[in-house]
Amino acid sequence: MFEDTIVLGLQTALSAQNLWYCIVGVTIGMMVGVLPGIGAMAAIAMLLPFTFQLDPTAALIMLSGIWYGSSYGSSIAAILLNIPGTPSSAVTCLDGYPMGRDGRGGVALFITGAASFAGGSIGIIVVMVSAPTIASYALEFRSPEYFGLMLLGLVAACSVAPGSAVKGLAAVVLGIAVGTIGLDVHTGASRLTFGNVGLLEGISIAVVAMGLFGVAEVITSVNSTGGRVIKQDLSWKSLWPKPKDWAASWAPIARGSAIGSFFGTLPGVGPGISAFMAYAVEKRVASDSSRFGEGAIEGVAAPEAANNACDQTAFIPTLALGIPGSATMGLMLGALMIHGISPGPTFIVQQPAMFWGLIMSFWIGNLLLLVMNIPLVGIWVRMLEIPYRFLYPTILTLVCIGTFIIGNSVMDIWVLLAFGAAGYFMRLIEIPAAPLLLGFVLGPMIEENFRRSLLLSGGDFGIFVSSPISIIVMATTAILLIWTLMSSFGIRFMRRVPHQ
Amino acid sequence: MRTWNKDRFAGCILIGVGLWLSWYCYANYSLGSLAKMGPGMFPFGLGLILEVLGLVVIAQGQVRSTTIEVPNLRGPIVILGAIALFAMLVKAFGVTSAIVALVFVSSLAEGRFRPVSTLMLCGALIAFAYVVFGMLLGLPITFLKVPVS
Repeated sequence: MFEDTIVLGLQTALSAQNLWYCIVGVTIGMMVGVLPGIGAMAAIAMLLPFTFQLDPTAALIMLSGIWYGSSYGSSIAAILLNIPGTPSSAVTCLDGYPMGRDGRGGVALFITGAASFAGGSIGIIVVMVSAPTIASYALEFRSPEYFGLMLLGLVAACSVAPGSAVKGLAAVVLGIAVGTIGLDVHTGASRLTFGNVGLLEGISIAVVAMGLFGVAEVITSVNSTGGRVIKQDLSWKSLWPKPKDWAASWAPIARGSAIGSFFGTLPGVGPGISAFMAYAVEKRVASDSSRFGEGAIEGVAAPEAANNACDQTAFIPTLALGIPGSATMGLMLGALMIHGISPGPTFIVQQPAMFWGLIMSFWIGNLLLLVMNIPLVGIWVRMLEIPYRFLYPTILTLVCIGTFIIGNSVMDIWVLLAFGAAGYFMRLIEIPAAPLLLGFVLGPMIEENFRRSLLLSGGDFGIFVSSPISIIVMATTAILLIWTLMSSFGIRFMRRVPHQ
Repeated sequence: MRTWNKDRFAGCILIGVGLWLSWYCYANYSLGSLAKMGPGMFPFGLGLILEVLGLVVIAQGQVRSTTIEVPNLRGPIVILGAIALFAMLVKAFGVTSAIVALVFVSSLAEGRFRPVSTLMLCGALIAFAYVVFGMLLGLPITFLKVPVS
């Protein structure tokens, strides 16, 4: 049974078309990972419109490749530039950059490549084992349970993320509100379209994401100055870690992979937080924690294993339940829905070729990244020297053309402009954009399940706590919500205590 | 110069959006009942939640204080203006001229104007768009168009 699915997956993933898009995806992922100022999120959003004509499996394989590929690339900038290529490698700077400064950058790059591959592999195994199991349990869920789970996912995503959790929640609600724009499926009434025909079908997720992440990111970083790349001996001899480096790395890699695999499944805990946790654990278990921050190889190996493991296991709730835990996973879900595939527990059973093909493409992609990472490191380092003044007009051009081709409509570009401006403004007042996108993706499903539940119960809210599962889910949500609210006011409380 | 408390400012914005949303839905769409919701009920409720969250954010602003520094508006205005130009040009004159306008205007966002390298970048991007989007992907893009008046 299990062999059949693996063979099916390999057949799908190894077809010429899917293999090609896997290569394209991981290469782009590697590139945007290396380049600071453009993240996986923006890159996926930018490429989303170009995948509309593709076969959905190929589209998903490519977009996923960008996602996990970026974690490989981002450590290069962290080690050589002290600027993480994407936030997921922020922790890698702490010990990676000192290693680079001490002339051990080659070893650090090699170990991060190996750790990324190990973490990614363990993450994929976890996905293969647990996603089908979770999906088979979830088949019994009905509207009230789904509504509860989505609510829990959104609340959890906000309360764990850095920054103000309340502002995160507000962003989620804003996102859900943006998601209501267009035709109301129940009554056929047009909502919040202001008489504009172009808005009847709702706003495309690609436009929202490109505005909030692509355009807003360009505006914020347009005047940032890049760092200086440290010159490094990148010959094979300098790259190959010494036996003592291997000996010091394997246990942190294993611990990091475990931590990343676990946290990846939880909503809101992205690769950045996983990497940070792994780093904290290493510091705790090390016999001499004072080496951390001075170029300890454990401090590079563990976080890189963790963020790559997390990248893979983040697919579990997305593919098994249809509930994305992060904005990027929301985009993946959006990509599926654009192709008319409804995500949920039936996805794995109904689309086995797509699911197992995607999983097997993760193996291929991780192998490709490992191969591309170390031998081609010279090329990636050269990319770091591209000035931002060449990059941002390129990003803007891709974003504008991408938006325009979605529906051959100028209206979409104006919507893009509005979301770009809103995204920039939100950064100023520190309302996070990622929860907004998550709310936007889940909004229509939340509304649907909410209305259907109340239709079933005749307006009685008791239906949301009518089964053991929904009671647990709702209670967890309530506890999390109270904890979130209390902790956002806890700053003063915590400060006051030491004075007494 | 007056500085704003970031949280209080954000809270007021959220309340404003929430009030507008719930008012707009109340005034324009039927709310229906809980058992049989009209199109307006759900967004109306979202507006109410936004108002509550806005109040919480304001309350948070009383506890901690972070202030907004007035940003340099050159970048945002130039970038958004460049996108607006793209939107105005793309249907009437085709993608090529829209890219030229977008790249040249957006390059004004950084302090120095470098005509030669900007022109080279422009050429490269147009060539890239033509080869990848036009030839390889076969997207229905008009590259050059003379407007018929």
